[in-house]
Amino acid sequence: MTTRRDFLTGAVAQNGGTEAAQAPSPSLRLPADGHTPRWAMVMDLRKCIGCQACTVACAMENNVYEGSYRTHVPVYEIETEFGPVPAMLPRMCNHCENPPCIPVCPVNATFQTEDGIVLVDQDVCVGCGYCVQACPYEARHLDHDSGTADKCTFCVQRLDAGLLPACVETCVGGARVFGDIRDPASAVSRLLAEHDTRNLKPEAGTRPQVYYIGLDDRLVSEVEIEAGARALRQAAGPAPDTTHHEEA
Amino acid sequence: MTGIDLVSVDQDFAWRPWAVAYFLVIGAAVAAALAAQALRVLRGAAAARPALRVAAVLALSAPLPLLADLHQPARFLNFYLGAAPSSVMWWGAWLLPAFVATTLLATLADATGRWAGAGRVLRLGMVGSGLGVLTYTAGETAIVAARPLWHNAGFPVVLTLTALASGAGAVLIAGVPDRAGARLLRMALAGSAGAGLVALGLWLLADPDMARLALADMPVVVLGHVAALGLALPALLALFGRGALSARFAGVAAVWGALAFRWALFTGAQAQSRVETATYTPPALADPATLQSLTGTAGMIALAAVLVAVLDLYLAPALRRGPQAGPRADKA
Amino acid sequence: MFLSRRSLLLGGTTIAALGAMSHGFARTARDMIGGLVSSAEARGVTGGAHAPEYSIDAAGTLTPNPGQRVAYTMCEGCTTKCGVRVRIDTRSGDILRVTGNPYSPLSADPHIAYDKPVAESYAGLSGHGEAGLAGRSTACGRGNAALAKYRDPRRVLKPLKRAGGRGDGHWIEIEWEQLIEEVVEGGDLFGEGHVDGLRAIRDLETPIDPENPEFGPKANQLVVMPVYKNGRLMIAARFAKMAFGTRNLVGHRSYCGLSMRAGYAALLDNLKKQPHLKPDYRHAEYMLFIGTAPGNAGNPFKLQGTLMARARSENGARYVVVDPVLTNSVTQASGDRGRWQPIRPGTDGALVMGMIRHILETERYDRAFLERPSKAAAEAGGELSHSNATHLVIDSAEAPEAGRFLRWGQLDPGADEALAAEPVCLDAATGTPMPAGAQIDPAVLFHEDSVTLADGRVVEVATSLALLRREAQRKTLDDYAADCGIPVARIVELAQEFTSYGKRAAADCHGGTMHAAGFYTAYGVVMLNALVGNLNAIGGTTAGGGSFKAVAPGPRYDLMGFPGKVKPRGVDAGRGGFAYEKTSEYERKVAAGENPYPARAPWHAFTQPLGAHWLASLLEGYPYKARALVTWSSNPVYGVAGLRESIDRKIRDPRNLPLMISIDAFINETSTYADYIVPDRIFYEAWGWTKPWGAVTVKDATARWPVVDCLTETTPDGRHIDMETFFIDVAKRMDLPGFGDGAIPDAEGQLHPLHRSEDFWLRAGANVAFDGEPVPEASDSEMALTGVDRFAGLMRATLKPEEWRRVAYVLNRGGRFEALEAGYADGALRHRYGRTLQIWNETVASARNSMTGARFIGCPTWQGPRLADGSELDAHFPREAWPFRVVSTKSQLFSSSGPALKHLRKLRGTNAIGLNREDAAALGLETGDRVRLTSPGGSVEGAVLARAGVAPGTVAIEHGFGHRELGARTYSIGARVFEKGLTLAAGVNSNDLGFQDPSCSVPSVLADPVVGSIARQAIPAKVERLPT
Repeated sequence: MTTRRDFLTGAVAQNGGTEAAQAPSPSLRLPADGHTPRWAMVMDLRKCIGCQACTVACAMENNVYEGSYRTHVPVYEIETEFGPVPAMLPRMCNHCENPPCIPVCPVNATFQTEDGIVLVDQDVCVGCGYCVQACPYEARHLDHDSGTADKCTFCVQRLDAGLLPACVETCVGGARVFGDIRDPASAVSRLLAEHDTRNLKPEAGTRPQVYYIGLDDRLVSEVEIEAGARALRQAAGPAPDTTHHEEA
Repeated sequence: MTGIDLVSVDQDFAWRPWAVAYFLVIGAAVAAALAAQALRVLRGAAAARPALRVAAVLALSAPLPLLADLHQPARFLNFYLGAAPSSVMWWGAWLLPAFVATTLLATLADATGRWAGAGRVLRLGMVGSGLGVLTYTAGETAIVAARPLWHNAGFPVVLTLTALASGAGAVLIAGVPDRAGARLLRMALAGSAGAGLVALGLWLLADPDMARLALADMPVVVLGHVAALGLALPALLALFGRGALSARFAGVAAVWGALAFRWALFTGAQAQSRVETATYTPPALADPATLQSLTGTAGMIALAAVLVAVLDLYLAPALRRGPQAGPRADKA
Repeated sequence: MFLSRRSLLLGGTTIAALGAMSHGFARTARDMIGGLVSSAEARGVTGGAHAPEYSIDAAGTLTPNPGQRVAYTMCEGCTTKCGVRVRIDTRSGDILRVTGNPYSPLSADPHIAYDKPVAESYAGLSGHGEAGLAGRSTACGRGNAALAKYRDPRRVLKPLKRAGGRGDGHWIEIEWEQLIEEVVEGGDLFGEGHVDGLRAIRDLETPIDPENPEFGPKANQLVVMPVYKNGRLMIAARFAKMAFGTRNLVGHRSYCGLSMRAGYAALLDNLKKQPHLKPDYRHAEYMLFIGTAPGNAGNPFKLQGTLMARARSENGARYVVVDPVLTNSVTQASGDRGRWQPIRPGTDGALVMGMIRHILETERYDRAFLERPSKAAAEAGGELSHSNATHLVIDSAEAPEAGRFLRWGQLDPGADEALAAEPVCLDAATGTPMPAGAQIDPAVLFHEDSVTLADGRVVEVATSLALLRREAQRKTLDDYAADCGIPVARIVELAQEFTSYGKRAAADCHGGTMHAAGFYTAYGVVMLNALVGNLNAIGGTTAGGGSFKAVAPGPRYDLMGFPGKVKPRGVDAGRGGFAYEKTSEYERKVAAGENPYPARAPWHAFTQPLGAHWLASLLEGYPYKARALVTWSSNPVYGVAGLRESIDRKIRDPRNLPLMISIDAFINETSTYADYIVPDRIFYEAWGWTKPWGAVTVKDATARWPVVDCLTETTPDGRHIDMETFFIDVAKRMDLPGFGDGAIPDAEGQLHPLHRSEDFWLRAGANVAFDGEPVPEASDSEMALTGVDRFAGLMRATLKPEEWRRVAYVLNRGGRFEALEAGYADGALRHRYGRTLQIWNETVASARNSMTGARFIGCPTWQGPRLADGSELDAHFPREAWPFRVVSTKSQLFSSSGPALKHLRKLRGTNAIGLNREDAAALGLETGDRVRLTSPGGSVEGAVLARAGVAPGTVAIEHGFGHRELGARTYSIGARVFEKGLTLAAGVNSNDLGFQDPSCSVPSVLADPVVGSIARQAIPAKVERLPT
């Protein structure tokens, strides 16, 4: 899906606050051999221990409003032939090959870079929420403070500095593997070759670029669950918002 | 049953109650405009006047609730700085002002009796852009594949039919002195409400998955409410009721049905998790946001009614040469 | 006429309309105006993201971000003490991010070479060449979130004095000198009468109780309850034990994991220091976890998570987690690699003894290992460790030496002293008795017979293994299955699986064994390792790689010895580590011809001091009362099951405990009772040196240094107030040895001052830097990268010229770590544990239960949870009246030591009362229903979570919730009122269900009868629905 906004890869990332030294070429997103990477993530669920390090690292790194998530790890207790077992399912934006969230934007605020990263220009977004409706993975939300669409950016500001996304850096089990799917030698390419991987909601036709190793069939689309943590929350009623109360 | 969630998060509602208010008002506005043009053709300008005035009031009231649903309203000009033809909302961003402008200008022309030629063009523009608005409002939600409750054939049809019913209803509420005109409107109301009822039934009951989905996320009482009070009652009243009072009551019921249907489908669809078979807690009726959206929109309509009345009572005579005629405008 | 009826109508409508619109669209107007006039910076595509800390190009060159710096130090989000890297905004001094330290073996696998320059260590984390994937160094969710503690608005930053009754929650801020003066000199401090200060309490001569001289001097009436060994403990120990002279200072082991530590200590023959083992996760092919959940609980929690993730997905290892509650230690995605084995709470011992019986009877044990009676024999047989399986034990119950090993001297009186002390074994080939030390060939494993001693007495003897078999055969496999709720076939299957991988199978236990049968359960679990002879073997178990000398008689400074050092003496306030038979109470009763048993409350002969019992026994005055309590960063009132209820009334009365001081960064359930609260540093502001838990196979000294500026108030002479400064200034005012001038001897005997934290910890750093091969010196540029340069002046002033840059080198790397390869050598673990594994432990066997007088059994056995007087817990609390047993599971997201952390509290704001699905249905309960959970000691209320992942008859409670302090109550400091945050009180604390042992006349919470570890698991309880 080419972007209508002709942003050079690598040049687009302009981060808030102090400017980081601009990575000289060749950079992570402009490799020496001149090919344009296509970033993707492989989640090896066999290695996830559900410690939520990625959830917190992402929220801290990107100053996400507390209670909203660019990535998080639901934990389900599901039945298997060996009895009940926890199933961890790290969720995030799939940076789809055919993202349904981009065409619906009425002001061209959201677009996909050449190397596959779906971004939102939060200085253009009018906060209409249409892209939030269109995402089949609930990977977008409207940021409480800026009122604009907010989502995983693969930590593009870190990629431009030659670094890895915050969630990958701190993944305790090593379940999160990020890399260039167009490079056959990359870790993601090798994992995809060695294991049968699956995507979430293939029926949505968005060609997601987050691949799961060891994904149970019952977790592929809407996970059929009964009363659990959510039921507890709803039974306890809305917890008073302590976020501001604390910082006072 | 796969299992239970030990850790899970809820997703907030992106579209808030103001969106429901906007969809109600703009639907009724377009319906009233279509009614005005139909009555003009069949019964002449005078008979169509109340419908045109209602269309003007509602058209004037639509932009603010829509703006209120944007989290960055100050940037609404961004809709017009670039082209986003793949976005239904982008088309809407152009259709809405076109409809509002043509409707208001047609009303001005009617009120002052001048620019006869331009008036005809404006009225055609009003109808054209009105049909465009109906299409974009129905299409905007229907194309969202991620929301099964919207993404089907039934929803846009019922949405449109309830719009037509609420438009006709609004005009009946305002009162149509011309007896034949009133009867035509009552037939229109009955027709659209009846068709809406049938469409709703077909949509929900024909497809078991859709029924299960709808009942999972929308309480039966709301759906029953929409069907009975919002569609069946106005249709019957319109058909068999006599006199202005029953017409007005049918109108109120139709407007209420349209509002209840939109509230049910907006909260129901957004409450339905797309990652788990779970329901997120929808905003309660007593939520501040809900109350604000209703009071704000009602206030906007009242203000628009006053403006249109001022146009008729004071501004138009000053601009007009011919005899002063025009009904007493009333609050919708 | 303007005011016609119509214009009135129009005007009225307009006003009403504008009113409604202003209400309805107020927010829109705000957003609109905000959008137009806002000066907010452009957010671009990265929103509010922080700028990267540095950038690294393809060539690996580093370009630091001038506005940030990255420093390596230690996390204390839980007790695992991981090495982390902290990212600091140099302008605001705020901590932006925390994740792993690539040098630290606790956070990266493999960790990077120690001599790699710091700049290169950053580059190794980059995306170039995907270096950062294999080289990632991580922190868990809590580790990422714990930085919120640094600027938590509830942090205590100034000394506080209570301004009301104890526990009322009213405080005033006082100056530093006033705190030190009042604490040392005492006086009528609260208008409640005279209070003795520390000076008056420090009396090293007068016995506390003339009738019980063994209790020791009055100085023992100062009781200090610090935190665990978090790297700063040794200053508190220096003050309390070596300078002040009280014997009462111990960590929180007795209410954390003492049963596990004592079980391992009995096997490893070191009941004093209590070493423990961990599996070699990298190479083990089969692992059995009982009462511990790798990657979810048990220390080191995060390293276990990393290693188990790889073990189950790349190494092909299989493992079983035996636990009444299903945790994230297993995962659906790894199929049957990791299996959850539900079990009835408190009955792991039955499972283990059943397995041991099957293993012994089917001879699936490692014969080659067990039949080697000595270290020499083991080496001859190519074994890496040895046991006393073949040693003969005197088995005649009436013999004075019952339970002890037969000594060679008892057979051959002529033998010299060394030989005479040797235990005896029987040569396997000839059956002739031999001194174990001299026996190179295999010895007889099973033997029960009588033997005639040199003094003519005939005594029964049996080999250790025979005694173990006898204990295992006390019950049939059916009995064991009935007790623990696991079918016989599964017990047999587990036993066979465990013994099918030779030495590459390992068993481990941890806090799950903390119930009233904890010691024998833990001893039984770890005994499985001895039966497969896996100690020091690849894929077996390891006692860890040890550490570099820090607070020790080190290469540069002796931080243990100093002129005038006091040797504390007397009895532990918790009656631990002291045999009842040596007490005056015992002698008085025997002299009076009475039966000396039972004692008024349990004494435990061979365990460590029992801090968990201190508060209850001190307030009761048995063995003696305390005159001053100092708690530092510990929270026994929250952590000891059943304590709060039993002491709340008594501790509020100063007559029971005249002076109470708490040193803590937060006001918790224990420090809320304090008379004074001394602010302390949180872990990113503090110094310290720690040794990791057993799973790290290489030498590791993790360093802790202030990577951010300390926020606590400063003393008049500019030192930040913290635990160290408090003890130093109190010691100086009391003129105690080991503090002030001339306190720290260096290797050449020169004396150095101890006036501030850095004086001690920098010198400990010198020991680490010079231990063995000294580390290189740090360059100025490297110090600038990490921020260690902020202490360059102080280090240059405190240390010797050849020392300070080397200490900086160590601080730059967050510690000193051996390379991973150093952990393994010629097919085995390089750091090996050498003592004889005790299949039978004669210290345990010769100790007696102080309530019944019966001798303990010297090897694992299954007795079931018991009260102190030996009666069955299930007899006192039958299942009909108490159908459930409450189990607390460790939380991955919460820790009991701090307030709820941002981002984590929204994922799990509260904990639930977890019930088995069928149990809940039987009670007509569903998830979300409110219930009251009642135990013999109290009750709590909460919401039910019905799960398949809870064993029948179990109530599962995630630990770390149900706080009454840490922001869960309203309190005031001077005029400032701190409102309580509702979510912070959410959930229940299973320790509120703990209860007092009904068989003790003096109030004492239920504990393991053998070692006194608190019974915080398997608490009897019943569940009732609460009326909605």
